[in-house]
Amino acid sequence: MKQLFYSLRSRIFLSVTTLVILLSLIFGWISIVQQTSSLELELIERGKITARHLSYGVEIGILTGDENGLHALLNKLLKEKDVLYAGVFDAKGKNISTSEASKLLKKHAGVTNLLMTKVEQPLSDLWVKKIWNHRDIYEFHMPVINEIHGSGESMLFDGEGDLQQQVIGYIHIILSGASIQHATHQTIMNGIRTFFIVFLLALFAAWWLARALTRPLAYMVSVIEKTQNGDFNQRIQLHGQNEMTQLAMAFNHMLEELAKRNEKLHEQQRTMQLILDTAPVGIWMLGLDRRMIFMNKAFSTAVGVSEQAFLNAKHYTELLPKVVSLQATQSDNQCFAMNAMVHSQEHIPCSDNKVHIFDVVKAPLRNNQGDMIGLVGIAIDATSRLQADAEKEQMQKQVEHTQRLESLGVLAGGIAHDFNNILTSIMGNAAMAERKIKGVSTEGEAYLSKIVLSSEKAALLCNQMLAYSGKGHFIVKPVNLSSMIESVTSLLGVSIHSTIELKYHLADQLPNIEADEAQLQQVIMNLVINASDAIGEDSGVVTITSGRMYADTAYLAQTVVQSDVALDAGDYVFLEVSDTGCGMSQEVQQHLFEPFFTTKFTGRGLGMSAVQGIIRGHQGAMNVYSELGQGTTFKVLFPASHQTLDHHAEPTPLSKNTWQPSGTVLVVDDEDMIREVSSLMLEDIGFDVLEAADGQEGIEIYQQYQDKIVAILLDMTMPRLDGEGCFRELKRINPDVKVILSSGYNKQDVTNRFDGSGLAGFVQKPYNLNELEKSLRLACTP
Amino acid sequence: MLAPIESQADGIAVISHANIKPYQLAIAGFREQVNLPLHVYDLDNGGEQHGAIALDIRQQQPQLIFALGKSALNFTRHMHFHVPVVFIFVLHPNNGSSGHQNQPSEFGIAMSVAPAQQFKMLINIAPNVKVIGVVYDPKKSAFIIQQAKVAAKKLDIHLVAISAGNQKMAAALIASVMPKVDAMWMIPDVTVLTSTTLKQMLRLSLKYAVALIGLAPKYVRAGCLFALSFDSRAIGSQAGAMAKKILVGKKVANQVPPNRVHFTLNKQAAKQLGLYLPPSLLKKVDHLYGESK
Repeated sequence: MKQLFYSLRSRIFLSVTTLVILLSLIFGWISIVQQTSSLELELIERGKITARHLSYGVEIGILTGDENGLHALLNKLLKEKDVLYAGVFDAKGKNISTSEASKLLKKHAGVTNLLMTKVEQPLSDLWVKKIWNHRDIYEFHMPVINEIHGSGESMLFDGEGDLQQQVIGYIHIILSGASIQHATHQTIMNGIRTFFIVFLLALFAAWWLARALTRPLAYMVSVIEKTQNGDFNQRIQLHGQNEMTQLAMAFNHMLEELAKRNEKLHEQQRTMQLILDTAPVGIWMLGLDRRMIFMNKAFSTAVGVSEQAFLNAKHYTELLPKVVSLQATQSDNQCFAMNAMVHSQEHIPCSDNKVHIFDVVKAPLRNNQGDMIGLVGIAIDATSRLQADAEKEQMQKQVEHTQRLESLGVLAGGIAHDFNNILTSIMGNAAMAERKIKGVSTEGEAYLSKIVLSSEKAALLCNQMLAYSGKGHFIVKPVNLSSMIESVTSLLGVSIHSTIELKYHLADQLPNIEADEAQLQQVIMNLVINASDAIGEDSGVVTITSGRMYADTAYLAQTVVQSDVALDAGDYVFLEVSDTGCGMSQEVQQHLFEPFFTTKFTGRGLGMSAVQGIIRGHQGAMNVYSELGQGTTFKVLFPASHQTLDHHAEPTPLSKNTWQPSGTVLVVDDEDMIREVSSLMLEDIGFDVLEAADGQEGIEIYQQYQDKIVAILLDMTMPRLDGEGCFRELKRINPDVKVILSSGYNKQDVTNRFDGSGLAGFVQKPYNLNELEKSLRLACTP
Repeated sequence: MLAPIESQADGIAVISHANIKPYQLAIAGFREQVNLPLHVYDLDNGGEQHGAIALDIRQQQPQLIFALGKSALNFTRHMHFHVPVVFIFVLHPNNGSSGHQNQPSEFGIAMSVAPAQQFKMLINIAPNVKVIGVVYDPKKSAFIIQQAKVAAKKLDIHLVAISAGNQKMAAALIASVMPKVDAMWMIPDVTVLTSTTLKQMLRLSLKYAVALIGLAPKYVRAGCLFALSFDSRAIGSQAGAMAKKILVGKKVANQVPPNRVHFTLNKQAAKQLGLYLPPSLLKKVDHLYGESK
């Protein structure tokens, strides 16, 4: 009912009806007032005319005193409309004649009181009086004038003259206003009838107008309702040129625009849906009631729950494991409570039966007013990234570890080099002293022997350090691993406890490997001794196995020791040393190759470091398998070589008797003690000696004593001009010059730099007299 | 006999008592005849001015006084200017003044047309008229009634002249006499002729088919059959001519009728009376009323 009252049709109907009623009442009232006023004015005017006529008519009657004539005249006047009474008075105001009381007069009670018997006040003109107590009574008084000429002459002038007015009597007329009342009453009655007709017409007109105005609107509303249901093809069909048609045209235009925008919106929605579904992140939206409003395919697929299930669930966390549910609820609550973006990392079991780690961002969803209406959640699967990060971190640690080991290698190499120089001096001097006191003091010889023995042990340590740094003595040639193992068997036997059984599984027909025999021996020895030490004094078995295998890159990549360069897949010859010892913990394994790390009371921690350095130097690889209490297996791989064994026997050393050292040897070394001991040993051998503290000085001396100098013992590392530069200059001066290089670094490393340049020989520091003599003999013998 | 006018006398004093159109026309007509300067005095400005006017006139020493209306004539009689006076627009020169008679030095032109002239015109217009009625106040109009009776007798017309002492009586007598006469003669008698009696006569003339002889064109316009009246400009011019004669010492009559008469006729009234108006008569009419347009 209220809706009906407030409807546009009702409003138009009521407004038009009310307006028409009001206008009818106003115009009716105005009409009645105007008519009443007009009738009253007409009555008054009629009364005035009647009074003037009567005044004119009674002049002669008054002048001649014709009372009968006046009475007849007055009675005749009563026949005039509305005239109730008329009377005539003489100039002194005395009543001369009156009309008879009319029937109408008798109806007006009280009017008779108004009838004058005498005119009290002289009048000069017409006087009209309305009796308010008797609204239907109008009185008219008028003097009766007779004009006379003041002078006789003036009556002879045409239009001019001194006329004087003389009042010869008065008239008195009473008119009834009943006709006005009657007419007013009639007008009101007519007005009421007219009003009802107009009212009915107004009702009809209002109904018709309301219907005419609202019908197109209702039609438009029906079209709008269809549009609301998504049917944008609806159009309003109105004809004509009125405002409604214009509105319909505008609305149709709006519908067309709306349809276009709707299509565009759908397109955008489809695009957005596609983007959301194909996005590699999970996206969802929650309402304030925590119900899922939207979820993209990526997330539902990841967690293995359909989107519809999420959308239908009262709370989406019901579909998640309890732990995940609590975590999600907590972050949801935090986001709703703070009305701000919340970051979290959530572990969510996924459809691949793995728990994935998701970086989750939950942000408030706001309306245009900025009020929070829900939240948007975005989950990014960070599992791979975190794994990659962990791997990267691990790799970084490995790199750092490797760099640290390399630094240690450099350090160890440098120390070993310097130690070799010192040991060269010690061993040389000791050898010289031993030779001098030989036969003189047995006790002195013993001491010197111990010095030499200690120096040799120190030299061995230096070799280990050089091996670790990859700069040890290094003479590569084809070696058969099984043969090598067999060759060191005797040495191994004395190096291990008697309670330990050595077992060999050596493969026949093994391909050769390119290796330094000494270093390969060192590897075998170190591994076997370590295996023995792992078993300790208990009984156990150390198994040495050799063989051939194909190693692919994957296998090679997971080895613990690798060369600096990437190893190629292919045939490898392996050495495997297994023990039944105590095994190694993970911590021990992590530090296995670190220099100076040892689990032995007397160990120096260089064995495995040297093994690692040697394997790297040989472009090999190694794997370690160890379990505490179960034992350890080391597997070393060397690339298989196609080179055959060199069966050429080393040239038989020339006997000392057949070689007579002579001439001068130039010693070029920046170390004073090296130059000194070398000079002593050379002089002892039988050479004259010249010394130079660096390469530049060496060249100068050689230029000066070129004819005498038969060989030059040249150090590598020197100030001003190093060994290499000095060698090239010497070769330029004399291409046939005999130069023997002397270095604490390995021969291979050094000689590679002088490959093909005519180097006469190489002597590894620390060297003793014999080794020096051998080198010189080989160099100087044609 | 009048003494010749002194050479040092200066112009003519014109005295009127109202600045009305007939007076202005009359003065204009007078000026046409007289080449002397006119000093115009208006007595209507108030009685207190009369002495000053008289003093000024005396100082001016006019050769002649031209008086318009009875008040102006009485003023000259009271002031004794001792110069000839020519007057016009005075109905009864010998009445109304305090014992003055028409002085030897007073010369005037009568205001009304002679009864005989009026009766002759009536017969011209309505030849069947035999009885003419008139009501008059013997105190004011005895002389003219006497002239009328003489004229009527000559024209073989019966004049019924009834005297009335006051207005009331006049009205009653008019009512009683008019049914008995063929024509009713209006005379310039203020006792008899008022607006009421005029209306009465007009009404009765229609009722009893009585021809009314009016006094001036305004009565003809109201319904009288005809009127013979003076012309203001002509009467002024006639007075000027008279003054010229007086000033050169010629003898003139003390009062002469106007030598130019204005003839006004109401054609509608004539039609009501059943009168035929021949073209020769209509040619004489100065102004014709009641012509259907």
